[in-house]
Amino acid sequence: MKKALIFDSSSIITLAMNNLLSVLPKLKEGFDGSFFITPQVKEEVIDRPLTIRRFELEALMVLDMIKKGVLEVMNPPSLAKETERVRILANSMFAANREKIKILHSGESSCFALASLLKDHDSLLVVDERTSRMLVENPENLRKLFESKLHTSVIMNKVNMGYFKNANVIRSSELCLVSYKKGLIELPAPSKQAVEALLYASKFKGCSISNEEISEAMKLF
Amino acid sequence: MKEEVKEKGNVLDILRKAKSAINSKDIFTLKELSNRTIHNASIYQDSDSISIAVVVYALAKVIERSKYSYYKDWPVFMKAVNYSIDKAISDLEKDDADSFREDISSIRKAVNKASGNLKRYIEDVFRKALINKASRIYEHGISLEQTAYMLGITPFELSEYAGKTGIGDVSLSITMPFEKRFKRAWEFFK
Repeated sequence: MKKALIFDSSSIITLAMNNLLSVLPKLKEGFDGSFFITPQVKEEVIDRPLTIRRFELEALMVLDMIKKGVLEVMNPPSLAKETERVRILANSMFAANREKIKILHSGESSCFALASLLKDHDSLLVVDERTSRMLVENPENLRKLFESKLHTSVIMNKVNMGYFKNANVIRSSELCLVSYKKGLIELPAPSKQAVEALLYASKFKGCSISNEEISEAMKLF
Repeated sequence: MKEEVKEKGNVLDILRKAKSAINSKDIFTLKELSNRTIHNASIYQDSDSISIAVVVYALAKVIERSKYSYYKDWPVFMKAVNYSIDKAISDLEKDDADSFREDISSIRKAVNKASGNLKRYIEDVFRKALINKASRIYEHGISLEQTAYMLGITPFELSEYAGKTGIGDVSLSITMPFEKRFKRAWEFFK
């Protein structure tokens, strides 16, 4: 079975803002699979930021990955329809004050949709933002989070959970450590310091990883 | 005709208290009022809650910087702000949602009554207030992209700011031991 790494906007953003996109072509060498983004994600990481001076460079660096064939924009015929289906499913999972809470946008939804459509692939989602990951791995925690922050009762529609629970998620932090362990990132420091630097860099640019997890990671190296 | 203002009673209460807090330079209350509006903004995701949360927080930050009050345009700016808040309250009491929305928008546009450095500072405060409130909504559990879309900012801006807030350290957010996730990634690249 071919492999597919599907990146959402948040993971691309973390890599771009840490100037670590260069790790992707190296990871791809010898990898029997593809690195995909959807058109919706491309809109967020290239098309829009290209018009904003502050993030124009990052957008160009991501565009370069596409031009070099490292990242492929994958747009199967039924992606738009399936994305909308996912968006509706996700955005009717939680309700407060009888109002359904919209939790995902089209970019995030499109990644789940693509994973679902690539039935002949073994897919892994690369997602740095917190909500999508919690939706897959612990929706009950997401419900509790909503309740604690909104100070009101939040109901979860468990019927919709099934769609998301089979997704597998990693973050740019794990991708960086895989690269480091493979010798694809070289830093002039002992392993522990290099790992610490990579993980805190990803954390401070938006990857939802905790101090606790970083401490855990450092014990592995 | 656009839709009604959600939670009208709550919004009126917030605006009245905000007006009083502005007059007494009660920054703490202004920030609390903004936080209160964020709960509504996260649930209903209506532009009114979002605008009010941003504007009230921005005003708190503007007033907090006491040195701004020494600029010659300060009285003109604050007069425009107070006028817009009074009008917003009045229009909402009359259920004139369209006028209410214009009044809230006018609070932000009051910056045009200022000039030079004061205008630049206030514009900067409003921009930062937008990103700060976006970060709060993201902390509430709404996704990065959905939050960026609601506030009209880019995921890049929000990601950069949110990374400094410790959002990943909330214990409910930790859904898998790091070793297990790393092993998943490592196995994938074998």
